[in-house]
Amino acid sequence: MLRKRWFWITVGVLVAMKLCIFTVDETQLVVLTSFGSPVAVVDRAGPYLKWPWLTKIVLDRRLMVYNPPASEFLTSDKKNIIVDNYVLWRVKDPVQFLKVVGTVPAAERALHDIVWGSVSAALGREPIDAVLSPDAGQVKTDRIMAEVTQRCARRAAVDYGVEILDIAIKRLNFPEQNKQSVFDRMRAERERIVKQYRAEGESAAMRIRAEADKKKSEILADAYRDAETVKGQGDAQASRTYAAAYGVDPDFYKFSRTLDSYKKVFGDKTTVVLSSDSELLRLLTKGQ
Amino acid sequence: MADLKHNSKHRALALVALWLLSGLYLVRPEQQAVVRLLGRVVAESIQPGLHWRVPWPLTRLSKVRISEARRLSVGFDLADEAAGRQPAPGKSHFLTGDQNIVNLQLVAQYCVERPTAFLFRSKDVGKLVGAVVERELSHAVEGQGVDWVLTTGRAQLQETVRREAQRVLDGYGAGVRLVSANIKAAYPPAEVNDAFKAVAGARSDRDRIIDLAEGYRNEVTEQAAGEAGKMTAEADAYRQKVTTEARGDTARFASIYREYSQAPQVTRDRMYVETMEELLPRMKVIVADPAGGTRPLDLGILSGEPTPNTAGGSR
Repeated sequence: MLRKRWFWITVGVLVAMKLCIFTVDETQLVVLTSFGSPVAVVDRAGPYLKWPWLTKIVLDRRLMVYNPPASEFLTSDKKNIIVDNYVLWRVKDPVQFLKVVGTVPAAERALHDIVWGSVSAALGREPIDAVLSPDAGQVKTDRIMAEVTQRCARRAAVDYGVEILDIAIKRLNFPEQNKQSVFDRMRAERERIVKQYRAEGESAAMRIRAEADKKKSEILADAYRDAETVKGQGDAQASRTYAAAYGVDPDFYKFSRTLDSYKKVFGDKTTVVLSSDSELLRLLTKGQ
Repeated sequence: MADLKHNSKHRALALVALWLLSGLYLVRPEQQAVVRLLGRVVAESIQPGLHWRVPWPLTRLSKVRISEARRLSVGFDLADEAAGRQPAPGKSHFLTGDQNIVNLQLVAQYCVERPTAFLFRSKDVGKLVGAVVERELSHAVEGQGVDWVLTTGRAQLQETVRREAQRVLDGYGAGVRLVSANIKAAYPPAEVNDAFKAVAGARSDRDRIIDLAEGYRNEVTEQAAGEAGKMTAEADAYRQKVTTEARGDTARFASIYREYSQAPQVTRDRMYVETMEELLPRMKVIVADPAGGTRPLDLGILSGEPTPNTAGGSR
């Protein structure tokens, strides 16, 4: 009898504990409801007591990444562009969340609408250069998306009890039907670059060759100048040597040098006509 | 009855002991553990070793492989890569700042830095990291030209993506560290591939033409330098020659002059006559008598040659 009583007491205590004690995990938000209407929100992890008639609804409090389907937008300069976003969000106000949307897929549908509208409006005010520019300083994607985030966050917090931490562009693309014309443009651009390379190569080569020829004539002219200078110095030095030696007796020098030059100048093709009273022939003709 | 009671007490004690023992757990070297007591974190980042916790169901134990590098891909599927399939067309398309389309495939690796953040901060960490890396890759090429992305920019692109994605993830408190972001492939779309190849060909043509011209420049300047060296050497040789000859000539003159100064008139006459002796036999000589002789004395007859009609004057 005694053991049976103890058994029922234990069961009773366990059931009471089950009804009155609950734990909240680090990943959870708990809403306590009394016959459907929320009475309390528990947003810190740990063990809690409640009245047994209250029921708890558990929501995930962690950050969630939502990828809206990539959509086509029109920029202020009428360029079509496909934007693939992600939205980082979590449940902030569980009561509001449960009342308005209730589930994660429903929340994502709601987020899709406000994000789409906001991105559409923001991109519609900007030219395509604001998101795509070869000058990195021109790209204002971060600023545009920060504005979108701020606007959407305000609406999502009030309307759905959702906190939006960030909305960012994951990928930009051109619509499929526009890609062919993009490829045509890319091809034309490549052809222009090919021509540019050709021209660059030819002009650079021409310049290098002209410089080489100029350099060559400079080198040769310098060498000619130096060579002539050296030769002149040689001549001058020789001339000094001659002047110093012959200056001793200019008259004799002239005589002996003249004789030397005769030896060089006259040969077997030369005919001389000598007067019989010349120095050489005087003995021959006059005998004295 | 007493025995039975005693026995059941033992059994209860044994059960309690077993339950307490079940709180023992092992954290492997590559792991860290987090313990939640009744939902709340009571111990974060428990280091490797043998530990004890209050057993289930009061606590929950989560082990995180902290040093494991987790891979993710952008622009293609890791499953496709494993199966050797090409990514679906368009999946790798990114837009560059000059409104070109380029294919990019990137592999990122990340590991857990703070286990509690990794476990409790976001619902799907891999999806979050993937989205952020893709965002930063897009953003990095939105401000650059296609040529930069395909050629010189790759290393800088990887570093920018890694750094910026890490900054964003830190802002989200994701508790992960990006180890690397590597561009696996960067290539132009198939539709314009040949045009890009033509550019590469033209670039190498340009370099080849310039190389040829530089070769010409080297050749021409080498040649000119050679010629210049030759001219310099010749000039040196000339100087050497004329100065040495001058010294030779003057030395000869000096020795003749020494003789001459001993007996000027005799030497002078001897030199004159010797020179004539040497010269006259080689030449044709016509002797004319100025003292009224009308016909010159023709010595040329000795050699049997005709007599010239005209007679020259005297010296």
